[in-house]
Amino acid sequence: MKKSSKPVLEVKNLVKNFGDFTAVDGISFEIKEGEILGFLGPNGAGKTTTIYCILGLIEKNDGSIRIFDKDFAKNRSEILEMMNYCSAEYNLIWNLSVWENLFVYSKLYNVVDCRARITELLDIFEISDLKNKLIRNLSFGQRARAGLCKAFINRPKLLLLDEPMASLDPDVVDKGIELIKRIQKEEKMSVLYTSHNMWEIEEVASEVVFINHGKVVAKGTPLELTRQEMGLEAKEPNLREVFIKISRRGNELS
Amino acid sequence: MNLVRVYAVVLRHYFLSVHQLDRLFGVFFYPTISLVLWGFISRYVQQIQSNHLAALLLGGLLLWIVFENVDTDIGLSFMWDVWEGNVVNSFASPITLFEYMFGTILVGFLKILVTIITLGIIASVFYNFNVTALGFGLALFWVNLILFGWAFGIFKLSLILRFGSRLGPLTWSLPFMLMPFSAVYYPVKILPTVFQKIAWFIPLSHVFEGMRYTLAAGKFDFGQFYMAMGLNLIYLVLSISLLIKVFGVVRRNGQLVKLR
Repeated sequence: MKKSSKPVLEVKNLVKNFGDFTAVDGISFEIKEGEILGFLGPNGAGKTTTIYCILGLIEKNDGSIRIFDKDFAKNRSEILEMMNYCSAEYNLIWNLSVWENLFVYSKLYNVVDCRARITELLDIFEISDLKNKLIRNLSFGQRARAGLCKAFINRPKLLLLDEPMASLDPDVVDKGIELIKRIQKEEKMSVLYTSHNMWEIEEVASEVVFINHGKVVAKGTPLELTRQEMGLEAKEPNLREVFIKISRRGNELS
Repeated sequence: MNLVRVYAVVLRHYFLSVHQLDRLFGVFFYPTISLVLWGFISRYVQQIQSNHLAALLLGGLLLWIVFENVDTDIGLSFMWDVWEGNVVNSFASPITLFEYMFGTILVGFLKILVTIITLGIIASVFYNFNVTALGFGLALFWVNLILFGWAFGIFKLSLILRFGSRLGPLTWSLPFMLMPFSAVYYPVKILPTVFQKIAWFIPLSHVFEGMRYTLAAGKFDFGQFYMAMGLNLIYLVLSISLLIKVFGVVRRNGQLVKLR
């Protein structure tokens, strides 16, 4: 089958100001079908604001966002039905059980075979035994897995993961990443993935966009970025060192 | 006892009160409104010699609860989404603002139907007050109460959306503030002239004046009904316009994703 040449997500010259402060300053990047793009940057770099602009939760000041080759503003609901989002910062509905949450979200996303899909995801993320537990009674790791079930509920073609594994122990993160990679491959979805765990990005991302102070400061594969910053002799990606170098350089400039 | 640590507790409350003035509502707001309300009720009770007094008070309470529940339910549903950190997940989904509001209002409507039936049975069994004594007009009273509950609830939700969850207590306190001006337990003429002018701009006053007329004369006051309906339609249009405007503002200034 011929692969689509059109990017799934195309962000061009995106600008977002909050009063005098420019949070996102002319960012451009794209995600192709089936690609996982690592979206990196220090705290306050503009990653989450960019994600909120893509989701329409924050209105951009300038630039364009095309998703599935459609203008977001004109096709919001249609586009969002084919997308999903997960962040460790936002819980599912606190006082509903895991199953009830997933059932509500499956209706919000207009999932047709929702009961079967919920059962499948609970099984994949190994939380079938927790389906009747309230979200507030779950551990961090269990909540993260329930959140990921919600993120995959509608078989999204584009998934935005904003630090989905934040504050989880390495074992849980490792399992989570394996599951995300597996489903992403099976369902051929495109993913925008942010994290402050650099090995997480090295594990999942084929391409990385690095932003600082609202601007794109580097782009490439993890190995390309490592060679760019650490020297051509680098044999393995080392995004941790790349992150520190780029962040400190950005802070000196500012 | 370490007084420095006691001082720390006092300081904590002081700082929180400075940031959240609603924490001081209980100091002056509720007591003042209660005093004003019961002052007017006392004045009314002293003036009248009516066999209908119990019916007037119970009828007023039953109808007031309809408005208060419809109105509060809208703000409370939204506040639950805010408290549970679920606003971002909700609006990151395909749901539109209109669908979100429609679902919220529908739930409130179903809940108030249960409340009305429950209260009607209790009032009839324990207090010998038959809500159907208000005749077919009862349904029309409810229509106006529910419409104003929606308009006022959407107005409050807009304020919470714009200024954040620190205004959450408005969900409960604002309807209470309307009560003395709404002539729930006494006629508008009991109020001072200035308050009377305010009262006629509140649809509730027309509903309760209509209720008293029906209980006394056994007839339905269509004049008051039309006035309440007209005001309700104006307020509904204004509150929906405000909500749409505010939703745009909070998407521009980033407040929508910061609601906690």
